[in-house]
Amino acid sequence: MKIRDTLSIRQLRLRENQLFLALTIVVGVLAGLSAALFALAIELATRALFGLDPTSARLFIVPVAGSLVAGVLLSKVFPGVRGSGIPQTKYAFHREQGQIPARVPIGKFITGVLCIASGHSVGREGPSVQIGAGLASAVGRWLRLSPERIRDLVPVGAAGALAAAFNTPLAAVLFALEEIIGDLNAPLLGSTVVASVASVVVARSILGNEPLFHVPPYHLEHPAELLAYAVLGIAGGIISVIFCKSVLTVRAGFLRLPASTRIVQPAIGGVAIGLLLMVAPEVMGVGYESVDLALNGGMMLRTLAILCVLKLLATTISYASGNAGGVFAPSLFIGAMTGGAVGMLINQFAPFPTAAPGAYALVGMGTLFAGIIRAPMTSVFMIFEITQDYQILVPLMVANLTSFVISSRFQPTPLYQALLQQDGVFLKEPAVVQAPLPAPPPPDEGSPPGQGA
Amino acid sequence: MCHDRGVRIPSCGRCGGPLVGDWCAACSAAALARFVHREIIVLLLLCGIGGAGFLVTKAAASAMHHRRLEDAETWYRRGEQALQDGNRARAIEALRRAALMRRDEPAYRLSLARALAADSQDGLARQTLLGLRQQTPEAPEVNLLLARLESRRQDVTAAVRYYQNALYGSWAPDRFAERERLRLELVAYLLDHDLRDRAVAELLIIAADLPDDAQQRTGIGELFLASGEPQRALNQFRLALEDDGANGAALSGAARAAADLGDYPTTQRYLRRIPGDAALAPLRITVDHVLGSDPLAPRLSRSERRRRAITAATWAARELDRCGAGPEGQAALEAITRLPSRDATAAAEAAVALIHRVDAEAHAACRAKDPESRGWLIIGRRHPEEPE
Repeated sequence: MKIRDTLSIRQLRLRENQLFLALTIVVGVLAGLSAALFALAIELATRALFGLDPTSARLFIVPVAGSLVAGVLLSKVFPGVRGSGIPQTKYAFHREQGQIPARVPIGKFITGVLCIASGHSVGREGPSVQIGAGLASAVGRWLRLSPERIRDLVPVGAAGALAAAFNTPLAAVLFALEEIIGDLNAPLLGSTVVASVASVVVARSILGNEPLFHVPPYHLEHPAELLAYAVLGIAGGIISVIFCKSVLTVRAGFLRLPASTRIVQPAIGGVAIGLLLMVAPEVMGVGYESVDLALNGGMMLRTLAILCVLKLLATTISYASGNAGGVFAPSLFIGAMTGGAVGMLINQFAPFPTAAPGAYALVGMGTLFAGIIRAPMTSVFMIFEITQDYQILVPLMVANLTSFVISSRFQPTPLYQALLQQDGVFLKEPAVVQAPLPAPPPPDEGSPPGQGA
Repeated sequence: MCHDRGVRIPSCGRCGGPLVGDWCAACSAAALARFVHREIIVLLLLCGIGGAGFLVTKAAASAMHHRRLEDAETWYRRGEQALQDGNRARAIEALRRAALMRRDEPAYRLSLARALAADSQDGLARQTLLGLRQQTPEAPEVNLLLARLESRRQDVTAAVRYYQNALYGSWAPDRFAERERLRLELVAYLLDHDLRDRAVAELLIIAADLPDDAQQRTGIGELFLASGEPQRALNQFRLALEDDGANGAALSGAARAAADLGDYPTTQRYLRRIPGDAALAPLRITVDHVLGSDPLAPRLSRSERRRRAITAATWAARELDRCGAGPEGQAALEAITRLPSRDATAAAEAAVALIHRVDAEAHAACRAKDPESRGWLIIGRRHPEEPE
């Protein structure tokens, strides 16, 4: 009897392994599709809401109206889908055995499209990750997989979604391991790679193999230029710290408001964003057009500096007021502007030959990513994949490491972890610890993150 | 209960099959089959959802792509219109949007670069063009705009390089005339920067392919003349005159080219064919003077030679005196005047020697600039000084 029992359990286990492999492909495809559809929906909705050439009145009204609707949806229909989605995904992976309710990806899709398309300065990659992870979790539950397998599918879905969102399969794998799992040696490497590849194949067959940014080839012009990149790393690190502290401080302020105001908090952010858009429409949404312009040297020093400050302000307000959207894209935006500005100054004053400011804008993207997201490997490989230029790798590593060190020194808790802590969740990766909550949670807290502001 | 060889075997309550302990092989097999069956159905459903999702997303992407193309075209047209209306800031904004929406359309970025250059934002225009050049390195328009920007930056080497790239880029066969215009622009640029050899090289290429058109030949002749190639210029003017014998510009050019070659009789012949050209009056005076006042001209009577020698010496003595080159001028004049008619040749040689002194000693800024004085100096140069 025991032999028979053991045999059939082994057969079943083998079947679940085979099934998991098939599922990683299916999840990769679905995550890729969801990320592509999400990006398209945002573009379509943005065009519909703002038109081709929006007036000042429209630039103000759309964010306010969009945030009002989003506020209702986020409070009443889809609680738990505020913010980026990456802290929530980490929470689900570490604390909920990968259980993400099916309404989360649906809600994230709808509210994400609404918030980003209505002009909020947030990114689409974080929500894409949560949607991908949510779909993976739902598929795992539908197939009645074991809790461990459902948990394992979460980073697989996240990697698939991110790979499609950025068209960077390698960086997506690293992100899933580095950020979601918190362990670069995790045994899920193979599954995330399979999902990432499947997702990118699907996304490219739909959206084409266009890189996210069009960047001319940049080179290290002089060995001393590495010092200039280190200076950029310092600037990037400082701005990363300012960004993290701003988001956390303003968000804490919103969290202190009475719970009854949650429904209108996104609209408060909407009013501020509306006013900002009237001054600088470039800070609207993900803002990759401006990033592209900076990367190709199409902006003046003054414009770069102003946009850097305004984007930081806009993202802080949009994110902290509880709208749905991530900080990936804003960090790349702010990084590109910072890098471009620093590059122009270095171009002007350096006593040795230097690369064009666009090269610094490119490396600047990586430094902010390393400083804010605190995923240095992902940041290096992401920029490397975007440019497909080996020459930029060494400057990128120097600048990213400098930024990472500065950011770690002055903001010891990474942003995503700090956001979770504001929601009363304390993760210590890779093991999960339940820490005593520092303050009594508001009425609708103590539940999964993303329900607060 | 089942019976097997007289042994009582407990049977399964669900299916009636034999139980081994509390395990029923039939029930386990059925459960496994159900599970496997369900897995396959769910996987097939997921594949179906994936397929449908793919089609929907693809359709959405296609719709969005078309919308993007339309929007880009709209921005492009607005930008071009704004550029024509002189509203450069608006043009730049619109064209920038168009270029961002359609990165694969070089025309949009080229227009943007033009607008930036028109707005004196040379740095940004240059960046845009360099980006475009990486995509289409052989595009003549891109290289031409870069050449003009570099020439504005006074970077002659880079400008000439981009001009050359533009010339040897990929030109459609029906754009020959445009290409030749560009070559002429390059020639003018080279001449402006005193790069005469390179200008002549380009002119020779143009001249080789030039159609029989008097106007074009005349233009090339003028450029040869400006390049310091009077013989080649004269050839072009002659070809132009073969096509149109009364072409005033060609006659004028031919006269000047012949004068540069020192062929004054030919110059005079051409000048006589355009008597009404006021611009050529100084040249006319100079040439008439050279041909009519040379004391060393052949086949002159003694008295005429002496008369010309004294006239020449008078002018030279006055010039030397005026420019403070020494009092010897007057003494030499007196000596020439004292010479008898039979020594007319010696007087003429002494007068020409005096002209040489004016040419050598009178400061260029001091020398008289009138056509007649120029004529005297030419006479002097036509009879080089004998080495002592």
